[in-house]
Amino acid sequence: MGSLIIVLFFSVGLIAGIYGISLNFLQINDPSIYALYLLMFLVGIGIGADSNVWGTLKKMNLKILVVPFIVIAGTLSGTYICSFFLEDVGALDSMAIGSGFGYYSLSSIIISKMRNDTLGVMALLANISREIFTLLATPLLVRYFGKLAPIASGGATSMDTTLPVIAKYSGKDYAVISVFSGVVLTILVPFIIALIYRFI
Amino acid sequence: MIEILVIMFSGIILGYIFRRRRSIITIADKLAGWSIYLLLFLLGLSIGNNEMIINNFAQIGFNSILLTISGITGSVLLSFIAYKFFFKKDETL
Repeated sequence: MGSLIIVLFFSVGLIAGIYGISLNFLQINDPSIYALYLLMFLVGIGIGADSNVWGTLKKMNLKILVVPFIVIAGTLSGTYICSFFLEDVGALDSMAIGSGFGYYSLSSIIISKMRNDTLGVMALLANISREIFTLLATPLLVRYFGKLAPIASGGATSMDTTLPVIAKYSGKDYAVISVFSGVVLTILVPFIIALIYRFI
Repeated sequence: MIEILVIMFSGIILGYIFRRRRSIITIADKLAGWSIYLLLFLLGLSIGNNEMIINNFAQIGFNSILLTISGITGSVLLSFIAYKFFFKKDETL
């Protein structure tokens, strides 16, 4: 539901833009950077106030810690290999887009700010598909690749949008791991993207 | 980008301090939702203005799907290995 509304807003903007509406009259270089600052502040408040987050942190053991790092390592190596087959997307850009881990709103905006709008759109589409794929494929992922698989596939979304389906097919025990991995990845998204682009 | 991280962390600290003031947190949640809508609308707008992206949308979409598949494949395969060796034997966590 939430992602439907987001896609709707994006599409309305897209259509308005195609028909020549723009914000150039505002005379600010980039109005959306201030909206991004506001969003990051509010996302921070949401994480800080989430009792789930602190509760899960207290329950965690060393094994749980491994999960988000598996997702990071797997995503980065997968998208790195993928970049060899993409003509117009470099290795760093591929890995940065992958590092959205399904957090499409934030990653698309950060990447369009740090690089360009083309890569921003790619980050939006690639990360929305990650969420949609996880929602649809979780039963199959669990059957063939084990109970951690949908958590790995869900990435940052495994703390909220894909959590219900993961809890259903992997079980309640794994819901804790799911929230933990999702929270860690959500917090790390802007860090990892910034780190990747440090190398340019 | 460092300013973004600083802003986010000050949010986390403030959110933790005010975590029992539900009314403040609810307002922050609602505002976060609307600023995401606004940002995605603005992103849509600037892409709509960008003819190069519009004309190459099929290619961009194709690249995106490949990146999704490769990112998921990498992490699912690693998670499969971790599950087999570390998690499966004691399902109680």
